[in-house]
Formats: sequence, structure tokens, C-alpha cells
Amino acid sequence: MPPTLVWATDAGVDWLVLRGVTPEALVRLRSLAAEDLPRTLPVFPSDVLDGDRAPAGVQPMAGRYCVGDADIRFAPRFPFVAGTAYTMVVGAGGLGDAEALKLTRPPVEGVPSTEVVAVHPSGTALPRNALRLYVEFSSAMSEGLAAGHVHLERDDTGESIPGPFSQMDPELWDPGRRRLTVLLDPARIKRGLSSHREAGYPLEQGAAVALVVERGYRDAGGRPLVAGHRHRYAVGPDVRELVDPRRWVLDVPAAGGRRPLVVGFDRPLDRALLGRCLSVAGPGGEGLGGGVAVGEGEGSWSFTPGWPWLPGPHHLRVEPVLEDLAGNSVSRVFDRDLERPEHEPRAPVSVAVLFSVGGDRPSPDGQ
Amino acid sequence: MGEHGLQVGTPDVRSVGPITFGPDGILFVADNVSAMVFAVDVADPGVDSARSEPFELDGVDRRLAAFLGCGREDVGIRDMAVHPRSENVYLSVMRGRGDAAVPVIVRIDRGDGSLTEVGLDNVAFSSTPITNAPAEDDARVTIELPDGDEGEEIEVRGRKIRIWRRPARTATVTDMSYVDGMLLVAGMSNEEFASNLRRIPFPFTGEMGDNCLEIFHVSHGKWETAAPIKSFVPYEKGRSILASYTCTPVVHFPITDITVGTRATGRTVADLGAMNQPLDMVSFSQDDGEHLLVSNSTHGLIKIDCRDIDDQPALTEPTTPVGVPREVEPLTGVSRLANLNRTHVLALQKDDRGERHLRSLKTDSL
Repeated sequence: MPPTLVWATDAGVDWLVLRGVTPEALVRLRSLAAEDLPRTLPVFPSDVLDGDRAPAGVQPMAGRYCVGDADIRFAPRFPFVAGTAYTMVVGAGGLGDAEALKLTRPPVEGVPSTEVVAVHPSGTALPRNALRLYVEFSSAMSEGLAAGHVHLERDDTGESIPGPFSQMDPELWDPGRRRLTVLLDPARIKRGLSSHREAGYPLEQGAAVALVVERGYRDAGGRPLVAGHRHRYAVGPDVRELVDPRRWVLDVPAAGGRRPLVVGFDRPLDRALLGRCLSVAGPGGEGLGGGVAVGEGEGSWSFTPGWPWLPGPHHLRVEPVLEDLAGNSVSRVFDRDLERPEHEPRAPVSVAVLFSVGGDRPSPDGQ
Repeated sequence: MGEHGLQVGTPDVRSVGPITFGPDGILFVADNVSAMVFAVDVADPGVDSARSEPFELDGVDRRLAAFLGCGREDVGIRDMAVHPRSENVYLSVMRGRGDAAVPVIVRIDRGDGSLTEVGLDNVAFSSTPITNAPAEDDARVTIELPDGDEGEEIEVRGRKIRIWRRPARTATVTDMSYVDGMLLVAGMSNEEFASNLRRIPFPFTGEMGDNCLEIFHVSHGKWETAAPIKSFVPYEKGRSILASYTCTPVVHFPITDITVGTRATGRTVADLGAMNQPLDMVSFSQDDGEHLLVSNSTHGLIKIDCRDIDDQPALTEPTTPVGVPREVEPLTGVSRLANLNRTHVLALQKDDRGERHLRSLKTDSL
């Protein structure tokens, strides 16, 4: 039997096994010093080879060899990669006519199970100077693939919009690698910069665009998505003003019940920041526990207390970093115009919106 | 290494990103998955070098793919640093993707070009957190009702439910530099758009404190932004910083004069062109003067005389070319830069076929 390669797993270690070696050759190879085996029977990922030959001056794979009674085994320092072909160059081993032997790792198994569960903003409108989008997946994803699998296109023609995003290097993920943050190119949004003057906004006011997540995007297990995803937006005018909680409309519940406090915004706000920038404090100033929910299109937020509302003054605490879809926050406009006094930044401290529970009309007031 | 607060152990490095050398050959490694910076004694085996020779290595991707046993598309070079004494080259590499991704620090011997893995088992190291991520009991973390058995079981009004507290905010390190007992760390948030430059004393004390600077910058005297810093380089012995931003301007600010909690505005000294992002920067000496070299996503290398930065008033007019005088070297495809020695800057350069090579740029000729 001529020498052949097979895969083997032993005690949790994956081995590339060379079989069909004569007993004489095994004896000879066993006598080699450990550092000579990588030179005699080097293993490479096949796509780095020059034909059947080891590329000159290129080190083979790091790993260890074991010359047994019937075969020769190679365990790599770093695990074999599914779907990747590997070659053992055997020409120097005096094992027969073959110059090199090649074997491919089995591909990733299993059917696709990961899908896009949400895109934020979840509404159907974006300001022309929109800054940030989020794509949420049902399972952890592989890093380093976003630029090739997430793009913007014109909704009517399907034509790809060139260069709308900031370079995704590094990519911005949540710790679980389930939520990808996509920044539209701030250099094209910020007034005065070369990119803005020469290339213009990434989005065109009045146009309909679609954020597309391609099916080939790989999850952390290396499998593609169940399906691609497409979210359509109509592009509206710029938004350049502070997020001002005094403009919000509060639907204040009565004391004694657990009906939610509902806060209606004057414009959609950033979904991720809404998750951590609003909280409610009771009459004694203590933070209230309860459940929160973000309304449709990130246009509202509600808080359902764990216990019935007590009568008296309450306040909604707003963190200064809370932003709208264009990166304007409670404390500063994304690219503030120095000549506009209404763009003057606020102190980066939290803002309290007062409201009274117990039958009085709500009276929001910034502090 | 005791004087640097390092202890022998095995750091739980889950990813590798930006790297930079500190005192006595200690390598700082940013881990953006675990939100930590590790300081590692890499025990470089090289000898002290006072060389002035260049170092070249062709086909870096191919060599790494062969050594790490993966396809070239599975080699993610995240950063490059040069050991200040031996001139050996260090690369932070993510090998593979997803669950199969493995963080590796690879050392390239500047003598023979051989590759070795820098082992992280039983090494002298210390670490510090890099994020102000919410604590586990912070009510403001994202709370989900998991499908499986993730998270924790809590009792609400007699009912047992399973919840998963998921701090969704992360700080991703984009660049690091070490200056006189201080590690400077620039980062981006995956949520708010903000300019954060952290100053972390080294040896690490384990506390971040509030030593986080927010630097505003003004474009053409009209519009002001606080944006994430993408790349930066200290110069004038660490007294000044030149920073590039996700929104492309190049901004100068004095690092020593800025105090925490005060509003700091940098001086925009250049706009390096449309649809172009500065990628990396180094400082080097030439003709008894300090210069900065900037690699770019679109343009060639750009050289700036530090004296011109001092003389450059804040930009007020949107004209082209914009800002501080600069020379453009006809060398494109350079992503990473590092000082090799007194006479050469090492560049990681991609050629027309997409292959990356290490090239030495003679500083006298830049």
C-alpha cells in the first residue's frame, strides 16, 4: 500500500496520520532528531505550497510528530481548520514516488441556525446625517467579515451605495458577539471635512435605501445565516440639535397602580443607549426597580414599576450620553456649529425630568 | 520584573489587538474581547542591538498561514511592534474566526526571519481592565429572557424566572502608547460616539480611576466634534500627541497640560484628504529634528515636521491641501508602522497582489 494520509482523533487531539510507511522507513525516521522531522516531512496548509513543493524559506506548520510502530502522526500547535486542505511534503522522506500527499479537513457540519433578529433603528426613516446602525443576531458571529457581508443599497435599483460606512477595523461588537455596531462614515457626515465636501453624505435625502445583511455571513460556528436580511429606510432631513428631554411627553400613571410611565420622544433615539440611559426615581430619590420597554421605532420608552406607584414627585433620570440617530446627545450636538448658541454644549451630567404621580398634570422640567 | 508588578502565571488572553512595548521589553497587549490590557514579559531571546541595518521579509501572510496552519484568509494581523533592544518584530494575530479563533503573538527573528510563538503560559504578567463596563448588579445592564439555561435564576413574586444580564457596551482599543510610566489607550465605544483617551499608570494598580480625557476638535473654525481616536503618536518626549480620528482630521494636543474633568480642545492641524483614513503613525529623527510618519488607507505615507505642527494655526479654511505642510512618499499599501532602529522605520506593506511584506524605510531617505 502506498503512503496515504488519514485523520485520527486520540485523547482529544486531532492528528494527521501518514500510513503505508515501510517498517524500514519507520526505523529510519524514528532515529531522526525531533527537529529534523519537520524538515523531512513538513506539513503545510495546501494553499501556501508552490505546486507539490515546500515553498522556499517558509517554515512549516508548528506542531509535534510521533513516529509509531505502524504510522507517523502530526499534531498541529493550532487546531486544523474545518474545510482547509493540508499537505505533507514527503519527497525528502524516501517513502516512495509521491512528492506530496494532500488531505482536506471535513467541512463545518450542521444546518444554518443563526438569523438576524433585529436591525436598529427599527423604524423606516433615517435622517440624512444618521450615524449608527445596529444588527442583532440570534447567536454569536465570526469577527472580521462585516465589511464583506453588510452593505447599503438603493432600494429601488438594488445598486450598492459606495463607501457609506466607517472602516470596520476593528469591528465593534457587544461582548457576546451578537450585536454589530455599524458607523456611517463620520468623515462624510461632519461638515467642513474633505470627505464631506468631496464625497458628500453617505445617504441622499429623499432616497429609499436598504441595509442588507447577506446570507453568507458566518456565525461563530462557521455556518452561514438561515437567510439574508434587508431593512428599508426612507432618508429624511438632517437632525442637528441637542436631545432635549424637556420636549418629551410623559404619560404619567396614577398612584396605587402599576400602569407604566410612558415617555414619548420628539424624535427616535439610539436603541442601545436607551437600554441604559434612562431610569426612574421615586419620592425619596431612590431608584425604582421594574421593567422597561422601548417603543416602536425607538420613539418612546416605558417603565413598569415592580410595585404600585406611590403618590408624590418622581423624576426620570437621563444620562448625558443618550443620543439620537445622528449622534446628537443630551450634552452636545454631533458637529456643533460654534456660531449657534443653541448648540452650546451642556455639562456632561445627568438631567432629571420631574413628574408627579397622584393626579396632578405631568410637569416635565429640566434641572 | 518585580519592580513592574508582574507575577508569574497564565494570563487569560481571549483576543489580541493593538500591542506596544513598554519598559524593559514588556509588551502591552490589548484584549478587546475580555476588555483587558495585559503587560507581558516576552522574555525576548535576542541580544541587545545597536544595528543600523534594514530588515525585510517577503510574504508575511503566507509565512504566518504556513506556521499557524490555516488559510491566508484566516490570518488576521492586528498590530505590529518592534522590541526596542533586540529589534525582533512582534505581531498580534487572530488565527481563525468565530469559536475557532485563537489569539497568538508571533515573534519574527530579525536575524533569520524565523517565526516563533510567544508563549503565554507561566509568564510574568499583570493586567488592568480597559472598560467602564457596568457591574453585574447594575440595573442598567441589558436584561434578557434567555431561551436556554444561560444567565441566572431569580424569584419574582413567587415565580422563578431565568434572566441574563448582558452588559452590551464595550470599549474597543484602537491604539496604545507608553510614555514615562503611563500607558495611553485610545478606544471606541460600540454605543456612544465619544473621544476617550485613557491614561493608565504603569505598574498597574488595578484601578482605572477617572483618568479618561475627552478631546474635542474643531473643523475649520466652525464645527466642533468629540470623536473616537483611531491612531495616535506621542512626540516631544511624550509632551504632545498627534491623533487621527475616525472622521479623519489630524489633531494636536498637549498631553501634559490636560487635566481630567476639564474640557480639552485639540488643534486640528491637517485634514489628510477625502475618503482617506490615517492608519498608523510613528515619530523619527531626521536632520536633528523630529518628524512624524503617517500611513493612510488611500494615500501614500505622509511625513510631517514636528516644528511645522507647532507653527500650524488651527485650520479655519476648507482649502486643499489642508493644514500643516507635509510630504507624500510614493509608497502605498502601508498599514502598520514601527520604529526598527535609529535609522529605519519598519512598514507592513501590501503589494498589488494583496500580499503583505515587511519593508524597512531608511529615515534619511524619507
